[in-house]
Amino acid sequence: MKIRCALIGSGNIGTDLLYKLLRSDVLEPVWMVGIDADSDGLKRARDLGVKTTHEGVDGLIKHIEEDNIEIAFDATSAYVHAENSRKLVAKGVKVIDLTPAAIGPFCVPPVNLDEHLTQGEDNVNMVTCGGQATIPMVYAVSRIQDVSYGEIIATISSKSAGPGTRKNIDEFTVTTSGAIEKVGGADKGKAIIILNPAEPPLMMRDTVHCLTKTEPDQEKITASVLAMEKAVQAYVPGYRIKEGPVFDGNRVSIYLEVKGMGDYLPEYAGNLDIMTAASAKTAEMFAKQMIKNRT
Amino acid sequence: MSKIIKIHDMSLRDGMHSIAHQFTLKNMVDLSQALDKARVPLIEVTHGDGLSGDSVNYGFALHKDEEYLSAVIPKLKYSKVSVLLIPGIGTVDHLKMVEDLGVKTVRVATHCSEADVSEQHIAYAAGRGFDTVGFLMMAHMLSAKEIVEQAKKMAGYGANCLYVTDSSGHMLPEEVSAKIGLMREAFPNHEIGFHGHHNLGMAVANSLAAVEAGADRIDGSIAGFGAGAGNTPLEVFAAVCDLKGINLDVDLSALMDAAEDVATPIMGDKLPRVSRGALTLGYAGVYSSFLLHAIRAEKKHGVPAREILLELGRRKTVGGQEDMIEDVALELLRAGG
Repeated sequence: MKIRCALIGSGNIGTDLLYKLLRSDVLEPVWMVGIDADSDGLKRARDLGVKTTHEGVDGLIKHIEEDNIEIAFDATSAYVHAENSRKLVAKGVKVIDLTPAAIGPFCVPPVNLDEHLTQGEDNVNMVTCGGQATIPMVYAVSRIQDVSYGEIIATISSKSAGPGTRKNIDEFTVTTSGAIEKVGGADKGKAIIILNPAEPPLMMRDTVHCLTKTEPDQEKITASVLAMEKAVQAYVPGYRIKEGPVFDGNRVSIYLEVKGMGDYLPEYAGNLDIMTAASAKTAEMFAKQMIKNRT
Repeated sequence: MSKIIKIHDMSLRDGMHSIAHQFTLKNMVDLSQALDKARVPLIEVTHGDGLSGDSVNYGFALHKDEEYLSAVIPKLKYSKVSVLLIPGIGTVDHLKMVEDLGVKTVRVATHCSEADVSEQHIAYAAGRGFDTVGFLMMAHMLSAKEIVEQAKKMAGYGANCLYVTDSSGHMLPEEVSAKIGLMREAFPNHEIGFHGHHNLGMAVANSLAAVEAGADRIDGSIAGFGAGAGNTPLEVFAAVCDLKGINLDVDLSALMDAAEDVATPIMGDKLPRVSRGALTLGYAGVYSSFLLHAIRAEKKHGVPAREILLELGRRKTVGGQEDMIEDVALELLRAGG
């Protein structure tokens, strides 16, 4: 048995996610929603036998009951997400939000997915690509000792940043900073994003700096950080610590690289993968719970 | 009377890089008062990396942007104040925090090929009636034609002034002439600006080339404060312009006094010069504010700053990627060891 899903948004993220859902044992992508019939994402979806509409979320809503859609992923933009979510939740669909709208609580799987499973929210937010890559590491430090300040720098290749990301770059920094505090456990969070146009495109890179309140326990933090690397690798195999943790006074720095699976964009676009893989993992856990409750 | 070229002082913003963002409020007030006396029309005041640049990555400033702006602006009689904002670091909210302090100009800076990340900020600033500048950094990395294409986006969002920014101090005068010349042609109704760094010792020559190619605004700083080997030294540029009959409408003697009597004692041994590291920046086309960070990485990890900077150049790093410096240092250390 599989739980039937819809994808809203046919850009880089939505299309990459489609490939991941097609491999899932418990999720079945049934609909893909766009606003441009000629978009590459919708074309690919049609070729893969997925139903499509280019009439936005309204084109989907009328089919929710007949096609028994139970989970929807929204990969549109922060501005339209609220309206999409309202319409979907009214139909009893669980919404996984990949935009930085952050109406629902933040979900970073290795940190707090279990909490969300027990709380049964209608809408969970996946923060941002930079957040998914770095917040597990902020948490890996803060679960050992208090972090007064957590800062992350996400560098992505220009080619992997779509028009939505570019137009609303402030939402990235604001949403990620908030999640560094709320999920990562730092008293104060700061996020920086940089686009690099180098050719060939650079692999997604993320740096995490944590300032601990007392002198860092190097042994414990290193063990915690390495365990977290493994936890993320369980769903993003290309996630790795390049350097660190480096200790300098109360500063703990971790240098990360995220290699994608090359589903839609090539391997350099680890920023797509970490977002879509985290979303797929979250939906799979929800789906398993739905299936279990029924049997 | 020939047209007046507007000079824009960088001492209090780019100059922050020279002393790891540690100006005191008194340093800022003293410098800005000296610039005001010399009738410098525009002065930029923020963290070296713009609004909200305060971070582990770029360094924490001694004071918040709001504190510096509140200390400087009320005392000025002639000069107006600008702020810098780099999307991805600062947000529209940061702009809102400072806009009531009397700021007149907002400059929104992006890497030269990424102008479309500036839409939110330029549109906001222009909509609020600011003198709004689009600032294309690391402009040596694109052709003149490509720079014009990116500048068109910023103009479309509402910028009234467009900058060619030589963040690495890598350009030579003929490149400046070509780029500013094509910008002048493409934007007859916009102001065009040039921001230079002195890493190859060309900042004054480049700024002169920009004026001759039609630029309206030139950035510089008193005593050449600024990242790397510093920005175009304003007092030198003003003297050269005077000899060339270019009208800056500033008081040359007051600028010289400001450089010698006010600026130089503040900077002491941190006064920028074409040091080995700064020259490497210009030579390899690397973002100027990487300099002090690379020197720090050399001290901590024992890898020569020059090697780190050359590697950062080979990897085509862009402004803001200071986090690559320690990463690259550790990688080189392993490769060498």
